Amino acid sequence: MKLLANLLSLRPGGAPWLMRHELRLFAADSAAAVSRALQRAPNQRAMPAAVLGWMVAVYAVLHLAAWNILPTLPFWRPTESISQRHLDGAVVAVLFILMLSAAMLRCVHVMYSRSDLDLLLCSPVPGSTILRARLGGVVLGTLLLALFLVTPVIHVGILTGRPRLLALYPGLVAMAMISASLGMMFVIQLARLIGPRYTSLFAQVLGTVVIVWLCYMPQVQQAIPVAIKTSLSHLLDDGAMLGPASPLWLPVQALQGSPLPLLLFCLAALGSAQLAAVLLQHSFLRLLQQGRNSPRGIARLAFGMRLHFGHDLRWLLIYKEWLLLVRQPMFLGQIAARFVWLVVAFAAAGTDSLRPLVIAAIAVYATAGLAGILTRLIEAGEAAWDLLSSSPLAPATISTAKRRAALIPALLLGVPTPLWLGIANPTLGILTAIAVAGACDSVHRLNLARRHLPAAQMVTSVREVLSNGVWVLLLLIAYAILG
Amino acid sequence: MSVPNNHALELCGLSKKFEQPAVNGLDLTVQRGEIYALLGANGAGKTTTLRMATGLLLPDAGSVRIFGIDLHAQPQAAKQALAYLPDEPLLYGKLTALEYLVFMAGLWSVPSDQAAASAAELLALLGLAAHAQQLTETYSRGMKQKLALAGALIHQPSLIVLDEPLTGLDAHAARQVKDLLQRHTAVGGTVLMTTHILDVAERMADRIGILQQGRLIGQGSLEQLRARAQQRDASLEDVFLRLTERDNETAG
Repeated sequence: MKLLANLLSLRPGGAPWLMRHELRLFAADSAAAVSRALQRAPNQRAMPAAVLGWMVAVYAVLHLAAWNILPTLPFWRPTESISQRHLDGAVVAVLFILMLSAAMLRCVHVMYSRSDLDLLLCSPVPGSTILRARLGGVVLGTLLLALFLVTPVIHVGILTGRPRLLALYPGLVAMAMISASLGMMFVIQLARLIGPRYTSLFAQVLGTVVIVWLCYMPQVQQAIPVAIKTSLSHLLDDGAMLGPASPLWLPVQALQGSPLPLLLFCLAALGSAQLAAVLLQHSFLRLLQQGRNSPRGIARLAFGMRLHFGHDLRWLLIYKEWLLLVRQPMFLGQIAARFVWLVVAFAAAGTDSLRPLVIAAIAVYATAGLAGILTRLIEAGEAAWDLLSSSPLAPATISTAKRRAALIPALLLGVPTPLWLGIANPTLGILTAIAVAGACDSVHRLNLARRHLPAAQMVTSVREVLSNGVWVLLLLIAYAILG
Repeated sequence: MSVPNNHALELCGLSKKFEQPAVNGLDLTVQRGEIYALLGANGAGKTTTLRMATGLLLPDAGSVRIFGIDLHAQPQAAKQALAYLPDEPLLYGKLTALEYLVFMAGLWSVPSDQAAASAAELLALLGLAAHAQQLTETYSRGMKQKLALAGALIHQPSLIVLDEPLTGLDAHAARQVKDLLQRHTAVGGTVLMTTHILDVAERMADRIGILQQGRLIGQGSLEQLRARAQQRDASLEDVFLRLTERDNETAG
């Protein structure tokens, strides 16, 4: 009763009160992220109407997309078959890994990046309360994101004869609790070993791998050798690890709407949150401290690049940009994400005559996307425009150096694809190289134009996609004519 | 019957090592009601000492007692009397000044109506009343520093620990902060602060400690430090330089 009274009263300094604070910060962070995408002034309070309007519009579009796509998908059909369970199980696994990835990113943010823990830790609020509030905040953050993306499918499912999707509401709450609890434990332990920055990178790559796998699922399935497929299918036999009676199917049965598994799954989720809090509460401060101190060498990451007198001025500027880039938390994550896209594209593009063209198109999108991100990082990371402008360097020298700094790494990532294509088909190789270079340059210019003609990030991203599309189209037309 | 403890803060044999020893067997005592200034060159271990004294960093060895309460055995009780102001003000950009202060008060379980009244008073004292409803991300560096100080004072702590509280403040703002700290000690509060501005330490501090490579190489009133440095009528700057150079020579 006392606990309930505390919960309802939101006593200052208590866990519910701190959770409310976490929720307020989550709302402010989310609104700021949307505001940034819409290029709004950063100092607007709370959730401005335009931000809410955009979110409602996106939510409506997700409903429309679900309305069109769901009838073609085989998931959550009202049958009790084993194959239905396998299908739904694959979706649950993907959803869980995505939620785990999101929860880990959120954990890194609230435990290391937001840097407000010192404020709380020097107060008399017990460390365990702070930990529980943070965990609660991560659960809410992960849950809200999942609900935003998944509830349109639930709503459409109910209207189109798949009422069992309704079980996803409590199921998502439970999954958010489990993913946040696991995420918190992983993050605190991983940060001790590799530092918060690489922990964040790990979470990003985990999410990217799942998304890429989703996009290429049919091709990946085809690419798996028969021997592996056979041994995997044995795992689903009676009495095997994933046999019909295996308790590992409990989460799937829960999310398919079976009442008892759902209840057990929710209890397991509560248990996992409690377990995470109990396991971490005593060593919380020590582990956090170790995590903060562990990546001392990473701040000096340079990949052998050194700035020294005697460098050509352009190369001095380029090296400086690269040094700043490799020390940007986003950089390695973006490189890794593009690399995963390209590798999977090669592995899964099939064996038919369209394969080289598919690979060429993916290379254009992946390379130009990276060029766009690098341009934005270089632009945003330039903290000393006035210093550069007041130096004797010509403005053209500065902009050329910055362009090269953004484009060279992207082109280096993209260049093996045209080379590889060119071995079998020189025309396609040359055309792909031209398309990749052209798309990178266009995207770079589009992002530079934002400095002079402020456009919302979302608008620039759409323009980037269209620009890449035009380059792919030109490539296809040229290949149809010349190839 | 418990004996009243006259020590606001006692650091006994405090040690912390990162790649190299940052603090090395430090013994330091701050008396109730005094302003104690901790001086030292960059990397001398001042911030590490303050972070261990406030429970933000676990020491490798040694103990911290706040008003006689062991910080590691009873952290909640010990921190009840404590406030910490780091060198970089920790503010939430998306909260207004008033919301921030009410939140800070809440961490020390101050009821919100009482917190609102104290917040209004502190904001007025620091010349921030007109900006109370503004998001803190729109504040200048000086305003942020003053607001963080208000956040540290809102629960009326008996001991306030400040890391470079005057960095980045203009003369007017620095005067406001100094006045507020002196007001705090006038009503029985205790201040432990680090500063690079030796004039401030000379004029404000009752006692001064000089930290060198994680060790206290001298402490006391300015007169006592002058005697130790054998430099009568010298400024604190001269005394500081003399003592640190002498320690370097001894160590070298």
